[in-house]
Amino acid sequence: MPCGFPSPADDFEEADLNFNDLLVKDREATYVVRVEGDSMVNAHILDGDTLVVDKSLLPAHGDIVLVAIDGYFTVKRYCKQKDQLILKAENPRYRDIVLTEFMDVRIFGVVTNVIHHIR
Amino acid sequence: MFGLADCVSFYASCEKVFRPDLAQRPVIVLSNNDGCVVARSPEAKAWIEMGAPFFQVKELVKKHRIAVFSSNYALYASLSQRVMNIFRRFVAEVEVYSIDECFLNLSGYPLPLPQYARTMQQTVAQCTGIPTRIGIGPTKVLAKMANQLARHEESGVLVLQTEADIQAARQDFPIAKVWGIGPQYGRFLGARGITTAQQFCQQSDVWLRKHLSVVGLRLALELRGQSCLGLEEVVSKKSLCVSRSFAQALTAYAPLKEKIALFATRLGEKLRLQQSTPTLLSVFLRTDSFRPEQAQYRNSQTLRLPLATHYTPELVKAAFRALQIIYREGYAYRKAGVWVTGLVPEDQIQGHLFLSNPAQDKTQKALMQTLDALNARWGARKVQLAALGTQPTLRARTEWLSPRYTTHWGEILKVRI
Repeated sequence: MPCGFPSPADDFEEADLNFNDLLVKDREATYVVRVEGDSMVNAHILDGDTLVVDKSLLPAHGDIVLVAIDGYFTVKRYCKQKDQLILKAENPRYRDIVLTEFMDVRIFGVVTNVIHHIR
Repeated sequence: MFGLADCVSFYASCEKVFRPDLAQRPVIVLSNNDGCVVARSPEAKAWIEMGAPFFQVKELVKKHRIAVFSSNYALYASLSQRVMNIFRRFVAEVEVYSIDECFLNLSGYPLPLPQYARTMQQTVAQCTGIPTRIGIGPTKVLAKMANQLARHEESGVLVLQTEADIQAARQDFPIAKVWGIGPQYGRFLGARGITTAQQFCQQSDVWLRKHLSVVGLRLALELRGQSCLGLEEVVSKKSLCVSRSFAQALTAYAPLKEKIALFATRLGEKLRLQQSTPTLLSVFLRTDSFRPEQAQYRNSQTLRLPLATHYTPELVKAAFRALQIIYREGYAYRKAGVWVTGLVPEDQIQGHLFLSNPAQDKTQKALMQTLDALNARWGARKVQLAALGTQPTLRARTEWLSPRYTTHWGEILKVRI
């Protein structure tokens, strides 16, 4: 066995930063999706961004959610107004979606992080 | 108390998680090579038989707008792991029994078990979108039975708590469907007028031991509510098998031989992973029995290994010998496989006066460790025996494969917003 001076840092070794610690609260309930489109630009979600979605969370007023409406996924802001539920786009060019009992609405989860790739 | 949790139509449920458009639609999943139906969503059960060859149900699929998927094992394994981990949040001892089932040791949980089960079920559904069923009873065999009966419960939860619950469950439960009985014992018992679990556990211990060995006796005790099997102990798991249906039938000897080498290699990996060694190795072949117009042949050959071993070259050599014995020219082989039995833990191998060679054993072990490590690092079968051939001649047929949403960056869900 080679021996020499023990490194003074030996007792201080730690694991490098792990992005999961930053982005994932609930491993079993975390999913990742990529978005296409500009309906959420004012919420800083741009075309091509990667979203982290936590499926364990129940949406609260103001959360951004991944939601399926009549079988198709979209990402919108979840708003409660009086006794209405509204899924709001964050781009004035898009109309809000007022939920009615005739729609099949399934909330998949709450968006917790946006990863925007700039290079 | 023990619980058995299983996922409802697991593969089909996995396919629905990222496809809300299929929420109410019938979905089926096909086996390797898209050969036959291996999973059906509840909506599909009315139309499609389990195990039906796909080409036979194509018309029905079109007629009832059934969504079809090839097996996406990467997705199923990922979601399975999530489901199992969620159960581990609630129960300290979890035994993963198969990709979609686990036993839970619920002894000492003071809470009302039906509510606890429902909380687990809801958490799994919330986090993964996978529906589950939970059966609970004082033994593993009764938990498994409760799980099967939970199919008929709206909640998907059934707890056999009192003696009366247990008796009611056993009363009409077909003995052949009891965990561990199997078709052979089922027929044996049926011929003697024993058709229900209730009748079975009324037999005397002496009779049970005489005709069904200690395994049968243990089953009866378990059915009576006396726990004999702890977690990680199964009724019998003494064999391992690797087999595939071929996308295109194989006729010539050489490509078949490559396949057999591949199966034996895969078996070696599995055996080394679980640190056990087989004493017997078998190879089987068969033609496509769903094509009665073609010449039919099926055969298998079992060989005793001179020494219990999980050394890949030995397994491949034995498999080749067995193949040579049963191979016949002129048939279109549709399926083949290699299986091993008589498994013993690798540290309990019987020595052999002439064949044992400790130094050689050590080299072989080191070689296999290196091989497994290389393949784990660089991907399956980067390093392999030349017998496996160098060209990937046959890729599995996977015409309806869904994306691997949770394990590959390039395949994550795309959402139009």
